[in-house]
Amino acid sequence: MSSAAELVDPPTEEEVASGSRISCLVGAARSADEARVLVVDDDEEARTKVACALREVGFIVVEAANGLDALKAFQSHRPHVALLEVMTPFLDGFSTCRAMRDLPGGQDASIVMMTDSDDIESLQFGYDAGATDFLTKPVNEILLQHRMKYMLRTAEVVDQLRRSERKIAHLAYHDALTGLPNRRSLERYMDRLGTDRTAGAIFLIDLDGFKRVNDTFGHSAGDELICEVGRRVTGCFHIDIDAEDGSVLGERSAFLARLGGDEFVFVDPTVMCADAACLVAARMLAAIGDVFDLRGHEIVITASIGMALVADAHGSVEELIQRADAAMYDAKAHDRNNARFYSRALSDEARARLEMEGSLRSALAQNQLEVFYQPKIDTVTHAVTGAEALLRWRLPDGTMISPADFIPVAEETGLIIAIGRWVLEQACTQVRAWEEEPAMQGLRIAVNVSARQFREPHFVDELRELLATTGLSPGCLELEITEGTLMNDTKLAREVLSELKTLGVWLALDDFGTGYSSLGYLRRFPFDTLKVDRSFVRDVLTDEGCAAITAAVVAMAQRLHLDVVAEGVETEAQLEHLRVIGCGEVQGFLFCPAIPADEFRRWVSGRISRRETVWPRRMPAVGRNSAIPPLF
Amino acid sequence: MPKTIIVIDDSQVIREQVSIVLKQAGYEVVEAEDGVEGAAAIRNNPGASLAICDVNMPKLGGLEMLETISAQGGASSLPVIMLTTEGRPDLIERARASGAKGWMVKPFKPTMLLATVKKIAGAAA
Repeated sequence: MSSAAELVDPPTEEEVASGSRISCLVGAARSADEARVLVVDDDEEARTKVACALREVGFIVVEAANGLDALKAFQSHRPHVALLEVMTPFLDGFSTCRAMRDLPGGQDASIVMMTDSDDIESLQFGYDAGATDFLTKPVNEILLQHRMKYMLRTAEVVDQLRRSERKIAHLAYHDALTGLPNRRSLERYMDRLGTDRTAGAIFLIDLDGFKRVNDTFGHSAGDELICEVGRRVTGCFHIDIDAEDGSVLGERSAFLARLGGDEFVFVDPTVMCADAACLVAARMLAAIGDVFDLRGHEIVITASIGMALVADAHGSVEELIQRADAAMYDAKAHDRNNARFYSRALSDEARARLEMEGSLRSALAQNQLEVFYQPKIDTVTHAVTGAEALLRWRLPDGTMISPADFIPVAEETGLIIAIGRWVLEQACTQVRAWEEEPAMQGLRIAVNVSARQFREPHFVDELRELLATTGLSPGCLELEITEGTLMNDTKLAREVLSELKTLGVWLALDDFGTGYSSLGYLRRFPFDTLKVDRSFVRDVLTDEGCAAITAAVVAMAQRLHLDVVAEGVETEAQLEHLRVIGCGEVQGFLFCPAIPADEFRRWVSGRISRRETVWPRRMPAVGRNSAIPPLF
Repeated sequence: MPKTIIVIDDSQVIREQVSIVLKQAGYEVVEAEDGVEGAAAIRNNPGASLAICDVNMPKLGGLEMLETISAQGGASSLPVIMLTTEGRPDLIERARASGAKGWMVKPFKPTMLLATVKKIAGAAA
């Protein structure tokens, strides 16, 4: 919207038709020479006299000889004041006054009726018809000039108030950055549109990786991008918004609102089916996906769109938006830059996920998380060599929640960083305490490190500090890292791993064989231990392929002087097989599941009393692998 | 002989109000409830001096009635003024183009109505 104070030229016909400038015109700070007066009288002599008197003091005067011409002149010139003779031919002054008040902007003008001095009866009728004031004929020119000036000053104050009101109304329903309607406006639009209809679709648009734009180019550049996205989507469709309060003019016109951040909602009331909605979404994705020129930088940003059909939402606006929201998260999860439709399963999943996220946050605060320990056993001596620390979540009612359910949520939300840090602290403190007990000495505890935790900039520093504060010998700590963690950024992975190695902790490659299993990792990265995934162990006796892979992995690890730990050993036969092919250590239900720290201590003590000793392994040598010639 | 004025309006209240004003001034009044009845009343009262006609009415609106009459070329000598709540310039223009002699926006002021009627139809007798 253009600023009101700048407008001096008469509005164009288009502007008059849309009513877009009326508030600006009447609200503008003005002197007499910017004020327009419409003089209506069929008596040409009387009319000219009034017109001249007004022009003399600088008013812009438009003349009309009858009521109908007066209405037309009002539409095209938007006068601030209209002077109406009561007895005009065809359309009388009172009728003209009533009709004028119904025209766009008609409520904002001052309308003065000119009547004979003895016509008292007309006064009440004229006020009822909407007249602002009366002048008696014959008109005294001096009086007229001063009355008009005074009236304009008064009108200006009223108009300023009116303008403030409109501005406040506008702000309440619009987003300050883009000028687009806001969430309140959307709610009102949806209420007006009604949800008991067969047509219409809602699109929730969320930019992908917008935070990165803010981080890289600064927030004001991010704001520019948001505005441009708004313009692009608006440009794609016929979007009609009344300038004053965001109300929608046409029943069939589309609607775009910015909910905040990088989130927009688009509503197309004409979309009849899912296929049509997909076309609309594709148009938006194409418009948004065009190259942006952001302060000389060419950048491309994509969006994820969640869609829901009005007809499917059973009359609830809230549900409609929730559905689009769930679908949008689904789109984010699928490569982004795409549009997804709402489905029931999606909603249940999204809801469950949301609930899980909430409970997980409180779980950490309310000490519902626990670290369990699963012993690792030497296949030859059956001595306890160490343990893997495993996270468990116990609800206040005692129910255990499977890590398979909550770890993905923790990963996605970033909670994994705080949780992972907490597990490391717990494990290090615990092992340090055990070091004081002769029966527990020499145990090495393996802790899982998630990809996000691993990529945290201060991960190594924090670990160094943790080792310093707990006083734990780094050789008692092993970090288990999955292949996936290394894959995203091998250069970073190499740096972090070598720093960790310098700290003196042990490094294990977890879940080997389940991912891309690049054997090259084993050579390129300074690992000490290879963990054979439970899926191979499970079928090692029944599936020749599994047996062959397991044997090959173990042989290769031996060649590289890596320790091999097999997970998920449940039977004596599996243990025997693994021992024969040269796997040094195992963990699994055959010996013990993951158990709380106290129980673990008792379990280890119990084995010692049965002469099965803790069997400390050698300490890791820094850069041990580097001397080994590459195999692959 | 008093002059006859045809009042065409679907609102009985308006018809009564207009009739009272006109009768007090000495005019004869013929009432009609919509455009169809109005057109018939105009046909059946060739000696009438004026018709006062509403715009929005069931069956046949005032403007449509006026346009029909004007297209048929009949009764064009009978002056018509529109009395309505409508004030849209495009409608007023349509009425003038079809030969209407005036347009008044309701509610009407009796003296103003009478002044207009007298100007167009002349005094009652």
